[in-house]
Amino acid sequence: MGDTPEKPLSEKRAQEKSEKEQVVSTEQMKQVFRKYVSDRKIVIADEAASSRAGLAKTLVELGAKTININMAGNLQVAEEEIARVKPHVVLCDYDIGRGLGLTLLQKQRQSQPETKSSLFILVTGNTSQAAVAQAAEEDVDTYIIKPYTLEILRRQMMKAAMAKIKPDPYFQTIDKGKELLLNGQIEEAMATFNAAMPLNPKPSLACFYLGQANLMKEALDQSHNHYNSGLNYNKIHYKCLVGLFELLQRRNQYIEAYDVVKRISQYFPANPQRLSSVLRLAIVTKNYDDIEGFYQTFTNMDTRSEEMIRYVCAALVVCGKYYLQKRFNTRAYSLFQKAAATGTGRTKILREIVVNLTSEKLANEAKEYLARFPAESRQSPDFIISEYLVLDLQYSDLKSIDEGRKLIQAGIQDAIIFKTMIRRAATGNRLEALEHSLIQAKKLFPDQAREFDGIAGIKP
Amino acid sequence: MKEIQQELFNPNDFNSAQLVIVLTNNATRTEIREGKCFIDGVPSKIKEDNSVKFIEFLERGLVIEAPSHTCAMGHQIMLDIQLIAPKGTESHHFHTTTKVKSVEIIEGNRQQIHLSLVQYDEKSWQKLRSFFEVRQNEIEDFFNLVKGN
Repeated sequence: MGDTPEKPLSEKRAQEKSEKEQVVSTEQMKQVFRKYVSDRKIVIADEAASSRAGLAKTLVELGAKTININMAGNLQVAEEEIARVKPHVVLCDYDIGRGLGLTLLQKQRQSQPETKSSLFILVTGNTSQAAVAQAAEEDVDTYIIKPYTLEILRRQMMKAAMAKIKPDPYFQTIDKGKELLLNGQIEEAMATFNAAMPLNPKPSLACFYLGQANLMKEALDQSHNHYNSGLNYNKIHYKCLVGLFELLQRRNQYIEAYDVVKRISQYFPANPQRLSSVLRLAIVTKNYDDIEGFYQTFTNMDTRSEEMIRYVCAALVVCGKYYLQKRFNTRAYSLFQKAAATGTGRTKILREIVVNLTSEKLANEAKEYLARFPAESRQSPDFIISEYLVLDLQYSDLKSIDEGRKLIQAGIQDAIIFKTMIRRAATGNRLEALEHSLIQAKKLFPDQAREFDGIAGIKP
Repeated sequence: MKEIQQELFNPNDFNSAQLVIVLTNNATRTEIREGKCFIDGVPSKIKEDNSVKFIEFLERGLVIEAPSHTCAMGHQIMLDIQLIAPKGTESHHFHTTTKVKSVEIIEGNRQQIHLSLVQYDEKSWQKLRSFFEVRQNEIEDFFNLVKGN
């Protein structure tokens, strides 16, 4: 094996200079960080005591004072400490017990509105892309995975702090522009964001704020262009994606909005509110097949939050309703089955399915879902209302109105009961009952007055 | 429909890497696995947190957190670390004999233990470290992209 050839002297010197510069800049970073952290209050939230101890030790080595470091072993204590201490720096795990560490970010922002000088750092064993994306969405300063090396821990903390304490000229200019925008000085803000553009090879953030500024001027086309420019530089720039999505929704461009929100979901999958937007837009744009596609993906997930389950079930039911109305009953039943199976025991889902089936007079199918209510929920309003709707299909007009009245007197004052009573009174020509029901319904549910009139056959 | 599924979101995105650690201390005849503590093969009846957590990589060692009375200074500990990676990434198995360099009692009846590697496969060790280094770099790159840094 031959010797490695000698590097030319000039290359050697360049390398030495670069290494020296690196050492100098790391030293500078340490000094800046030491100065920053020396008088800052810190909260460390982690279930693992050794993790808390290790992080505290590293912070002290980097210049923090022990007396300024407060520990929390669970979410509740962490929330209390943040409220009490109002820390500039919070280090926490993504998962704290059954709770989410990210909820502490909002607490910190409430207690310490000066976000420019505060840090929120996640140090966690959760390596999932969903968790990482959610943290990035929430604008967490940095995300450190366990097990870490001390070098990575220190480097990540110092880098995060440097970005805040000594932002580069691009971010400094953007910060100036943001302040101007906040003060309503739109033209000056736009000039500042334009000045920021050449300071970064991919100035998506500047594009985003230009988009925001144009939005404030109601120049929607220009706003749209700026968001798109930002995405041309960086196709997953979160702010530009969300800005574009919200603009498209505002302009009722639902098909384009649906495309954008699907793209956001692809990169940032963990947001349940976004899932609801995707599902809602899938329905609005009549992409019902997509909802079934979502469901397939959803069933393959190991962890599903309560919110996600609710949204997916609700979307399946809406989808099923659509197919019922189109007389594709078999498809509708399949979707209702999936909704009921996924939302096991969730009475609201079962009730919605019964509502949809009874509205199409599918009594036997509705009875099947009535039977699926858990035993312990048979006294719940959801079950009682569902039962009423099923029995309504076999009652006479008078009996239905009477039974509806009993439920209302018993305190189950749901709009759907009134709608049923109004419908039966109208079709049965029972004018006194109709008038009485209408008055009561409109009093309790004034926002649905038009709908009640519509059912009663009263033209506006 | 498959295209749409791939487009919407990837269920694998919700999966985190898992570390399953089996700790054996022949000196105390203790084995800790699956969240349970066994002494001479008999499960301990004491109700406590029996998890073993891997906190930090050292150059030639590691820092773990384990139940109290797991070990003392100078003990030899065998660790069997199974890295279960999300689908699409290679899982990994690392086995080592270590020596306890220091033990610190911490709250909640737990110990923080510094271990130095004694017997191990270098490639396997580097592979384990590399998984987390690579993932950390990926996270940093993603954060920079998202925020436009």
